[in-house]
Amino acid sequence: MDARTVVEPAPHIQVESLTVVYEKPKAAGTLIAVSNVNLDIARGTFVTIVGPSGCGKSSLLLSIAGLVKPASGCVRVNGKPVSAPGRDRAVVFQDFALMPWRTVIDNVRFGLELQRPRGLTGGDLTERACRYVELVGLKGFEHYHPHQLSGGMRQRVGIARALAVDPEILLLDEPFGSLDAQTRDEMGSELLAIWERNKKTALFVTHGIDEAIFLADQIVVMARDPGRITKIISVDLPRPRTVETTDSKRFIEYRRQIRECL
Amino acid sequence: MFNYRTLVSTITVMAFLAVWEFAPRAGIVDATFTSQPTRVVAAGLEIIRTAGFLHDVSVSLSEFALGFTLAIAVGVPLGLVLGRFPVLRYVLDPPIMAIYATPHLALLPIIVVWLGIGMQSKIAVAFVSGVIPILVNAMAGVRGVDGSWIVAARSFSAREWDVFVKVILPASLPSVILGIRLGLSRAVLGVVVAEMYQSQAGVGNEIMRYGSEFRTDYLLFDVLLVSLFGLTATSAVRALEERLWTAGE
Repeated sequence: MDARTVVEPAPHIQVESLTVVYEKPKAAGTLIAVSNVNLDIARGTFVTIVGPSGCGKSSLLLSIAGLVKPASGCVRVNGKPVSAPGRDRAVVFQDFALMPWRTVIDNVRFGLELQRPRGLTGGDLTERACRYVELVGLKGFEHYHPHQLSGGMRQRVGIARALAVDPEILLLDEPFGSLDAQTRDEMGSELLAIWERNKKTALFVTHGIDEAIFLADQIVVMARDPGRITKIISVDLPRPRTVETTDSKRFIEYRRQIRECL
Repeated sequence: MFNYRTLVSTITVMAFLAVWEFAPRAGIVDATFTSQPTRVVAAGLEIIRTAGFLHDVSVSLSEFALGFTLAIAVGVPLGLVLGRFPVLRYVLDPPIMAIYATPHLALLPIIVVWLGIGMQSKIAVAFVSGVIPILVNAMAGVRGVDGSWIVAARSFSAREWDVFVKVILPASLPSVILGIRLGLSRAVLGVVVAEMYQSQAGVGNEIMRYGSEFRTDYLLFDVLLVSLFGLTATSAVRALEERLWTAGE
């Protein structure tokens, strides 16, 4: 510990001139998904990334997850460069990515089984999975299979699976994108309620402007061709947030600001 | 418990047996060629008591069991690996497809040339017949695995082996079992036909002998025995399959 870190703590996540490139199929050249992006995310903040389809918001998130390799630049977590997924990060996916052959409790246990925290027995893992099933409000559904659940309930499983490994950083890739509007709002409120208990660093990708404002301490607005950050907005709305928050003058002002950038 | 479907099916079977029994009695056909249900049953009771019967059955069963087990032991792992690693698939796809397209029983003469007319050649035929559908379906199962499950596993730092055990294997299991079911009936067919072609013992050998002696009653009993075995084994695998599907989808 040198004195500098005490005076000015390093950002939890640092994205340094990150560029992500995909090969187009059939050798049709390359696609620049993310171009020279710089971003610092402080520990314990809820950051949303909003932008149109193809602006590279998911690619940015997946690079931080270590699931996508950058063409150049780098991502640092706690100052260390990211080269692969790690125990400090967990991802919630848009398509839920639940295993259909596993029950709710076993899906939540999935990440734990893979990471096997030191000194924990199989029974400990199940017990821990059980706690997180309860946390996301699925008590009583432990032995259901994903196909027996609604979309909202499935994503609760996805969130519980990510939280169960107790990551420092929660990465959510349009987690409510495939849910209907009402369920999406409910899930947003509940996600905030869970987040406020322990304030993990959260990065949430969405194309919903209201959702982006409602959840965030900080909104990263992105644009496409090439994928880049056009604006970073700090959201100064009191927590806990409620439905009324979305009617406030300030909320409407943020909405206008984001619309202008898109 | 009798629903419409089982009722119709039962009546159809009864009607067939009745026609089969009474057509020869009425002099419409010659029982020497067609036999009769009662005569088949009588022949069966006699065959069961003969000394050679148990030997023939145990020879056929061992040939099938060994060849088919070998087919599973090779087909499942190889199919899974080929499904997972495209480069290997590119290398082995042409020969596998060539064998797939070959009528495997056409290989019988050469297998006999290599392995003789004993049990080895029947085991080899059961293996060759069974292994291809098993391999092809296991491979298809792996290729059909949803990529998002693999990404999810990777996001929790899964290594290649973890991905294989926790995602690929359970996800492709229904397809693997399907391949085993398809391979099973082909392996049964392979053993019986191989025994009919060149052999010293086995149910296929008996069938051939009864045929040359014009003993249709005896012949048909053995055929019935083989189809009953195939049906039972296939149903058992299908039951397993259905349990997996209801659990998985």
